[in-house]
Amino acid sequence: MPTLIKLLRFIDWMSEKSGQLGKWAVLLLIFAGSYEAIARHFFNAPTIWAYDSMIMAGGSIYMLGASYNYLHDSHTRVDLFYSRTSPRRRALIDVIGSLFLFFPLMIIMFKMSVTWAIKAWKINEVMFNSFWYPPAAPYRTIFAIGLFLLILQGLARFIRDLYFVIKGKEIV
Amino acid sequence: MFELSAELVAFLMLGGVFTLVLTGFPIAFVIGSVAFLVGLLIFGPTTTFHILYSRFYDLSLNYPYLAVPLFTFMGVILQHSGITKDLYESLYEALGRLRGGLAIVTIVFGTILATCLGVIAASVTILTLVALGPMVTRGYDKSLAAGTIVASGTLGILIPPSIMLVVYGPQAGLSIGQMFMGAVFPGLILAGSYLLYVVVRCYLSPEMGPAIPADQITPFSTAKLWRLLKSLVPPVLLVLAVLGTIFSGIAPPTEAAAIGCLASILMAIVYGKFSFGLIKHASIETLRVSAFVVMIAALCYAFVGVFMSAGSGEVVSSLILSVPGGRWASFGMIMLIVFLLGLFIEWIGIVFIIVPIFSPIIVQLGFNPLWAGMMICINMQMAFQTPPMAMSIFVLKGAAAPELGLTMADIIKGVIPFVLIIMVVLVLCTIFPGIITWLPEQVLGVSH
Repeated sequence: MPTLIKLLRFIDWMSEKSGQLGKWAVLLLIFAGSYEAIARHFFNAPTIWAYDSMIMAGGSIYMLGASYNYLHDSHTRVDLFYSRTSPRRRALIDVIGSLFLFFPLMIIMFKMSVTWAIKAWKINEVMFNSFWYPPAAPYRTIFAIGLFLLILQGLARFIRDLYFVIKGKEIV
Repeated sequence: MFELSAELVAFLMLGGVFTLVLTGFPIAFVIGSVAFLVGLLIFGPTTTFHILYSRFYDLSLNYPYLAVPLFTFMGVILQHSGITKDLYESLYEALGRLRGGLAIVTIVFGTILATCLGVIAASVTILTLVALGPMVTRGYDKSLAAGTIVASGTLGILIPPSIMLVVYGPQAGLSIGQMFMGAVFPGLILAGSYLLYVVVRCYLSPEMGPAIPADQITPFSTAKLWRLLKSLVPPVLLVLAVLGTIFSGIAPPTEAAAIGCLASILMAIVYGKFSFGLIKHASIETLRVSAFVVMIAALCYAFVGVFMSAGSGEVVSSLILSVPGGRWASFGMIMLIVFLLGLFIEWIGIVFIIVPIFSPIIVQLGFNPLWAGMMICINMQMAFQTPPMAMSIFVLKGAAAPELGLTMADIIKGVIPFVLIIMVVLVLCTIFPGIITWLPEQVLGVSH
């Protein structure tokens, strides 16, 4: 059991770090956006890199935030009934929900994202949004990592909920 | 793989989402999984996986949606540097001696907040924290106090910049700038109507919002006026500058928002409120908000991909077009559906599922898409305030100090008049569509 608890805490730690790391992409996004606006408007020197840098920064915010939000239970729920049921019932809803509505979808998405990330590295895939043509592989990899951490956090939560449903007390 | 009729697919997908979200499982995953399961059934794994993955991936790299994190960041910084309790207190001293004065202050403050913040939870929370206590302890009617806070806090998501308009525009093929312009007058008219209601109501029954005796409030001095202007003018100017940049077409909303973030940081430095802690706090809050919005958006986008590929979009459209009574009846049907959905699910789900399905129908009916889109956005103001699923009410209830003894019944009773006002404004915008379309037409010089 102590090993399991350690593992769960390690997953929490990773999700927390993922969010803390991803938050810097917000500043990157602000920087790239303002730089482009100022350079183009005042110096007539538009950049070639701002557009792609911005969308990749944005994507990193969302994907690295996915597990962070799962850890902090920030993914919106319709809690009309949910908030009124007992904690044990809520845990049961999350256990069943995870099995049918979370893991199958997310595992497939993760599998697809890994396939694409590997392909992108192999064929040196580039992005076609601008004339900068940056490699797509780094973002495809971040995308896959974000989903991986989300699934891990989903697993950690699943174990905790399952334990709570069975034993009626919290695991950690 | 099964041959399912498009009607059955439409029923399974929409019915599946609207029942399964009620379990309380996070709606992003419910929506994605319904699309996943139905897709498997009708298209088989290869096609389904491809639709879901590629749409999820594409949406994560969407340029216009970058305005979501950017406006969120700007709002958090402004909230912590300029517009604060000071502003409320100054307004309180200026207007407190009027009947219903504090409710008036709440609406004015709420409208100003709405221009700076684009996230509903933020504006309702701030209003609850600073305005509920003074109103209740001064003997204001609890329902009136609660209704005022809910209604004016909800304006935050209508008056630009607002993340709802940011995500709505691209879904309906409208530019974010157009949406922002279209929302200016409806937002101000709503705020004005709330004000009028409070003034009239408190004039007729003074016990609902008693005036504070002049000797109980500190007189309003020029020093205070100066303090008020100092805390109010720069942030509002900043937001107006950002909106002006977008409206005049100098920069797209995303870049204008980025500049706005930079300017808000500079402003925090000038006010002496800057710290790395603030930047970190704003960044992580931005990550939290935008990650959950975009997670829902991405999976809804995947959902709509499956829904449309199955031909179910046409099912819904023929259903709405077949409503007897011509195009206005069909439009009324759309508004009714949005209103009813708003009772049960959150705005993000409505915008991302309903808008892509309804937008082609609105065009087919011959309505101006911008006008129709804004009508839906105003309609959704009600969604935030009508139980059972009423985001603004939940936020108010959560942030209200327990010793004020505010009950759910008080809140709901207080919200009803404001919901009726929204309906009146919707009727007004139908009779005078120029309320919505005039500003965008003047600025962009186009008419639909």
